[in-house]
Amino acid sequence: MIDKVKNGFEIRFPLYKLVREQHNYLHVKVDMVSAMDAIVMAKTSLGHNVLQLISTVDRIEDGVFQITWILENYGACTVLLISADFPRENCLVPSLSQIWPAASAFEREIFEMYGISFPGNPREGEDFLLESWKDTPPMRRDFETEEYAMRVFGERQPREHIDPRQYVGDIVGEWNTPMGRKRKEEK
Amino acid sequence: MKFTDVISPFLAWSRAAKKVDTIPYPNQQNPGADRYRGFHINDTSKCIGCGRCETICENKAIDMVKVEGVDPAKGDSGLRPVVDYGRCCWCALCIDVCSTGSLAFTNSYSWVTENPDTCRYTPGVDQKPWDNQEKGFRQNNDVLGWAGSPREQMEIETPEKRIENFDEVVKGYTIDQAMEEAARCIQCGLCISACPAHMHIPDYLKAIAEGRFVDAVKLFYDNNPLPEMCGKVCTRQCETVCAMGYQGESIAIRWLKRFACEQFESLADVLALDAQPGEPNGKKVAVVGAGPSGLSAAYYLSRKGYEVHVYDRLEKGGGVSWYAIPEYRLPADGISKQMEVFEQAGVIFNYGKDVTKELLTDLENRFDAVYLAVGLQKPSDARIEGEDISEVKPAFDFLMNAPDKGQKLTGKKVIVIGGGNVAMDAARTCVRLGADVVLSYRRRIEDMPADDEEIHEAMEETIDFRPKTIPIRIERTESGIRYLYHEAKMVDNPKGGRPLPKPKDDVEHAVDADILFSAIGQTSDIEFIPESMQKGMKLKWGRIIVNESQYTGYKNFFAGGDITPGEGDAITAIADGLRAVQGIIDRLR
Repeated sequence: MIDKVKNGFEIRFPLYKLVREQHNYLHVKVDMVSAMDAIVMAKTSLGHNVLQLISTVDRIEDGVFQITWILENYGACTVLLISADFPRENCLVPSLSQIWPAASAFEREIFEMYGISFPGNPREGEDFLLESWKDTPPMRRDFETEEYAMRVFGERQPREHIDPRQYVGDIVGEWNTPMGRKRKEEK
Repeated sequence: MKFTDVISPFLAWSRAAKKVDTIPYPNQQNPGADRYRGFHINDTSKCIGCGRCETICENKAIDMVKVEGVDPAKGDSGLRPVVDYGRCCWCALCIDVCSTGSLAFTNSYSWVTENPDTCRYTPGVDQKPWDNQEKGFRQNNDVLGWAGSPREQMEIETPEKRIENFDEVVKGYTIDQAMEEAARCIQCGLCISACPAHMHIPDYLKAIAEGRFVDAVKLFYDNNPLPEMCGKVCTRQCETVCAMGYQGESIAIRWLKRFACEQFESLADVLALDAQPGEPNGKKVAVVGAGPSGLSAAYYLSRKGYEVHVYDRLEKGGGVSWYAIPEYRLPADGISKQMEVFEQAGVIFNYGKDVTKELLTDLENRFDAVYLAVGLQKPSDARIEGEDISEVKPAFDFLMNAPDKGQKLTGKKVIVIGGGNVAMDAARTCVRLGADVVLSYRRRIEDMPADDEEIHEAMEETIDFRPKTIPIRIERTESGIRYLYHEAKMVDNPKGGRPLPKPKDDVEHAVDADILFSAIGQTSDIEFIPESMQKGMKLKWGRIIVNESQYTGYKNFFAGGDITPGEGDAITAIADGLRAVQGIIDRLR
């Protein structure tokens, strides 16, 4: 069954990349311009008519977001993953909410977590999980978790903190050597 | 009105008697998935308190704290992580990097508390209902490899080539390799607790990782004036407790120390003002023995402004560490390089002075304090029948006479008895001089007190290892000597400790040879100490018993190194020297 799907890609998108293939599973990668055509083809002519999930990976090193649409064919029990890379800066990805209304929820979540905009989604920008989030979207790799945690929540009081390296040194008298006392003062 | 609107209420009531699909929480709870990331557990007996979990935590949810019932020990800081669930995001990085793999998640996820500030606990210490939960996310270091990593490989000469000459076996790191290796350090500081001299290991590893080699050398000299020697032949107790060693390989601390020293032709120039004599305070101290312990005491006393005179019976400083350790482990060039530093620090050396009763009496009268660091001079008796045959010699004496300089043993057959470093050195030296070597040891190979690397390298060098062999006697034959032994079986020691070797049967096995070296240790010879002094000191098994500041109890006499009971390695001797310095300063104050 999965061969038929693969065949469809070979004819319509000869430049597609095969990421992984199993007996009822196919993961392909297409360029960003062909992504929508590939999804429409999968739905209309290959029987993958259920949108299970839209997932995102922040490939900050390559300057792209990798978006993956996971489509299922319940009749044939096959799963098709279509991935495409979109430039990271001001990232825009076409919305699927006109094809699958459920896509709207996934897209709102991705907008909130990664800041990726889906033009065509009527409910974009509505609060999804993070109420009134003003910062960098938290799942972006350039989001500084530690800096945010310290700025927003601060140190929790009373907080005891012991540095193992200093603690071990103090216990064994590391700086109690003839020259060490002086050096510790310099430190 | 539709028909369904009329019928619906009745249909709903018809379900009232059916079993419900939801779970009656909290009486019954839905278990999390097998690898669910729930609350932490920590095996506190495995945890070493290295603090990696705290360092990696982006949310600052983990703090290392002191806990009751866990005391700091060698290789364990005694600190344990406390987790704040107001901040934890269950990313599991703490578990992925845990050095020993003691930290894990359970699949328990529900905990109701009214006060958010109490939503923190120390896993493994504070009792929780999920403590014995077996399911939950666990570390998989085989996949990630974050908890431990392999060491930068050191280039080593092949066995075939190295037995042809006395060139150093280990070739040393390149700058890139050293910086890479030093960068593996996680700065937990557990190594400091294991090093007898408590060297600033994390600090100098950091300096090496950042390319600050001068700083590294200065840090060595803070509590070890023989870093190059230690960089080559130290027993490296630090590496045995390294946090990286639990699931990977420990940091090559010894090789890195050697590397930093090898970057400079003159250590005296590098140290410059950091190795000058201190402001003279008018007090004089005599140090007897120019081995690691004596040199350490001399160096720091001189830096503190004492006038220090070192006496040694040999013609050069360094003691047995330098004389008896063969060239292929510790090349002689390093000696003079390190001795320069002592001279720059103002230490006065008196070589070729036999240590006698007269000398000690003289020192007692002329100096404010005396530090005895004479080491162990007398090879132990093998207590084997026939050991007085002239071909039976102590390996220690053989090594002390620089056998690498010209001697030849080509075609000879040599037997070495013993399993310590001296035995390995003697056996490997004989192989290099062209002899066929048989090494006989009473116990198993794993019981040998020699360094693992030494044993491994010796085995590669065509030495015939005969462990579990009990010597019977040595006989003279027409062409040389014959060594007879029983094969041993190991029996449990009723007093505990290592299993004891006992003869397996009455069969006498024989090996013919030309020379036999016995290397079963050295004992002390305290005949040089006048009786009046001996009476004031506490002696046991020919060694001097000292207190924690190396004081002997007799006038202003201090002692350290192998003449006092201890580990018997160079770094322990150096540590003794450091303690003696503080003891002498306090006593002469």
